[in-house]
Amino acid sequence: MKKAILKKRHLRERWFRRAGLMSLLLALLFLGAIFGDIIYKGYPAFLRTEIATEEGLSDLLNPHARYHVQEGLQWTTASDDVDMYNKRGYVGRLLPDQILAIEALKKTGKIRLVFNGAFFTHSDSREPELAGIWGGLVGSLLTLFVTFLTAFPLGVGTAIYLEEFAPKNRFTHWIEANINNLAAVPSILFGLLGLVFFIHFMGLPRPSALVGGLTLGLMSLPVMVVATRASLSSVPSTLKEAALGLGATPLQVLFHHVVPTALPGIMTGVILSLARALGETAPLLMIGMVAFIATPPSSFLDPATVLPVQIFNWSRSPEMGFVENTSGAILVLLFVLVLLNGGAVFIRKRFET
Amino acid sequence: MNEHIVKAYDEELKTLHALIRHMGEKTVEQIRKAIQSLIERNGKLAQEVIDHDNEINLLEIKVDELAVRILALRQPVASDLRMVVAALKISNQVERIADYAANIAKRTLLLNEMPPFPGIEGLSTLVRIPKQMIEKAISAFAASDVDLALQVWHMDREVDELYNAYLRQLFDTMITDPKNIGPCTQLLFAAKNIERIGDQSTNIAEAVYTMVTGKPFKESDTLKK
Amino acid sequence: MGALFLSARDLRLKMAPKMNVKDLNLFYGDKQALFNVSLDLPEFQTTALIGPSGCGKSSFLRCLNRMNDIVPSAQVEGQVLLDGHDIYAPSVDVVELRTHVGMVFQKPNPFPRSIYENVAYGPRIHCLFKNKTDLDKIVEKSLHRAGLWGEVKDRLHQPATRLSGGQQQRLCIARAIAVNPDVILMDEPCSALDPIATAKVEELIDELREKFTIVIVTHNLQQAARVSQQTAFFHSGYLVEAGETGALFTTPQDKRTQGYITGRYG
Repeated sequence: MKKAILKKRHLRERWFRRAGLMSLLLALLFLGAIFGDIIYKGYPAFLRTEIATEEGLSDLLNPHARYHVQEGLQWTTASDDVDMYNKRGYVGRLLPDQILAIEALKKTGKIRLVFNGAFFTHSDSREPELAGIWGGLVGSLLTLFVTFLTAFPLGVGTAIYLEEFAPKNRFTHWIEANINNLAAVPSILFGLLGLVFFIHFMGLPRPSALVGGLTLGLMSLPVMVVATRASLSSVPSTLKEAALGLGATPLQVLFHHVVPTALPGIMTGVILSLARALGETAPLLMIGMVAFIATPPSSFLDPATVLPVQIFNWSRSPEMGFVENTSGAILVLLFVLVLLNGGAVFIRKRFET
Repeated sequence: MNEHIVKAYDEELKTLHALIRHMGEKTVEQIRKAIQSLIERNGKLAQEVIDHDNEINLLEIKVDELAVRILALRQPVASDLRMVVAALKISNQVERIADYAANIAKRTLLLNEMPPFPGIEGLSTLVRIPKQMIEKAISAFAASDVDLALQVWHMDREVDELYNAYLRQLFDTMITDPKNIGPCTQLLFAAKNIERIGDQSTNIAEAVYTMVTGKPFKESDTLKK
Repeated sequence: MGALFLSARDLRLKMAPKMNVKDLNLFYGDKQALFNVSLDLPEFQTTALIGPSGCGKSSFLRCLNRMNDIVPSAQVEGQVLLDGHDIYAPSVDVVELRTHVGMVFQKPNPFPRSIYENVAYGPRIHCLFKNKTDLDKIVEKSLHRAGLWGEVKDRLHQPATRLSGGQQQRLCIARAIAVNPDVILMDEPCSALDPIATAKVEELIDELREKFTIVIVTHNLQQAARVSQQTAFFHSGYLVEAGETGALFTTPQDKRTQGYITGRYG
């Protein structure tokens, strides 16, 4: 009798494991499909078609290049139609004799694919083959900087005060509950707040890194408070007792012992908040960072855009070239996010030993 | 007093206690038989007593071992500690008393080789009080009775007086007729052993006193009686 | 009976006590943890506090350096005198008090820093030294006194967490000594240690008696018997009996004490 029950238990165990494995494989499948698609669509964004500079091919060239062919340059950027045809064989708006011409160039080796550094160094442009993420990157960086400056001191300070100094009464409990809830509020509402408060009430310049940073800062604040509090409360009380027993003041206990011990957790929380802010689009759309910005911002008050918004914009454009730009930019964004998250993991591991 | 939380500990203490009582009972029996053998000139009984003495020696060893074991493994304190220490002392004293009893039995064997002698009856009178003393001393231990222990202590005075009187008698007898020297010497030894039984019993009483009060025995404490 | 075994030094038991506790009542909110406890703590002696779990001995210990202040609901009534001054008087600075009354805890809790920095922390925050050489000397002396110098002198800058449990506890003792307190409180300092480490700490406590007054809470009756000159038995928040250790363990006066130390309690 016992053996049968034992067998049943083991069987149940096996099936559960199988089910787990199946779900894992399914998830990986979806992930693979998504990434596969993005990579497939995106990697050509890092390549660019160039044609050997010669007379009589002007209609195949990029419009700007057409008018500003530079002397001495061996190769000139092709137009986006040529680019698309060369990469994928997409005919689009090309006329039959243009196609013939391209094929002829291919045979004579006068057309080539090179690494598209311009993707990274150019700002947005009407022409997909000239468009780059530089403007978005700069905008993101400036915005993120403002976000950090807003959220970090306030967030960490609030958390320290709530955890270590605030009296434990109904009022502070109410505040805590509200902060926890704010962390789950949809981000677009923060955009609304930014619109009303920073732009209409305070009159700050519309799609600037300052406003964007402030808005995202407010959004990141609750998360940082929660993460910091969790780190602080995980510091063992024996450490605090030891310091108090030696005659340390509460402030000394805090800054000599508690905060240094909680630091890996706090930093992880900060980095993860920033990573989330980097990828936010909805609130920034609300405050108007949706415009076409051809030059990167040179100060916090200049009109700016951020990378996710850039991606959003490109995804709305009709040209075929923007499809690969969109996917390429997504790849860049993902790469940065992976870097940030990886950094958080690294820091945690490093300080835990 | 409550039981110990650890039952095994309780059992060990009870065993120790019981061993002492057992030793006491056996020894009292030995004394009785020894005197009886002397009076009746019963060589067989005397030999029994002599042979039986070994059992009491073994009991003392058992008490020693058990006491040391309890000390090592249980680290007794307070009343338990005092009981264990008392048990060690008392077993030693009881064993000596048993030796005296066996010695008395040896006198029997020697006296039986001589013609019957009238002075022997005096010994049964002499032994009465010491026998009571050891009985009461063991009872005082069993019941942790300080008053009884002090009673025992006081009884020794009378024993000394009776002993001295008996000695004088024996000396007179020896002086009267040198032929008596032989048997009288044996009776002297027997009397001495009986007196020593009384002494040792007071030692037992003192040990019981210390066990119960925790204070070392001082003569001045007896004046309260 | 006990007086026979006290050395001349120990007869200083009769000298003025370092700390007096008078009618101490401790409340955690509505719940009373200590009832009218009065106890003298003789100078240069070790006093052991024993009693069953929850009897209040640790709470009592924590009243002696005002560690109970951390607990918001804790209320103290009565007097705790250090050299005649009430430590609960409003004018008393708790931070300064704790340089006079140090504490060692149950689980060794060195800071996650180097051995040197652990011992130097107290002197640093209280500015007890003039220059680096001074500080080095203080650290060395404290580690010597804690019997740890020989074992760590070549690795003072290694993390303290690399030491064994027994060494960590001795480090915590060195750390407490470094601010030169008058009284050292120990809350079951050996309960997390193996027998050999325990013996070393007990030996250390005996040596420390030369210069400090020690109060130790312990669950281990034999330890209390070994290290202390005075023992106090607590039960349900009351101080039942306190006396010279030898006398308490051979002839306790109170039935409850007798019951507890012989293992009949329960």
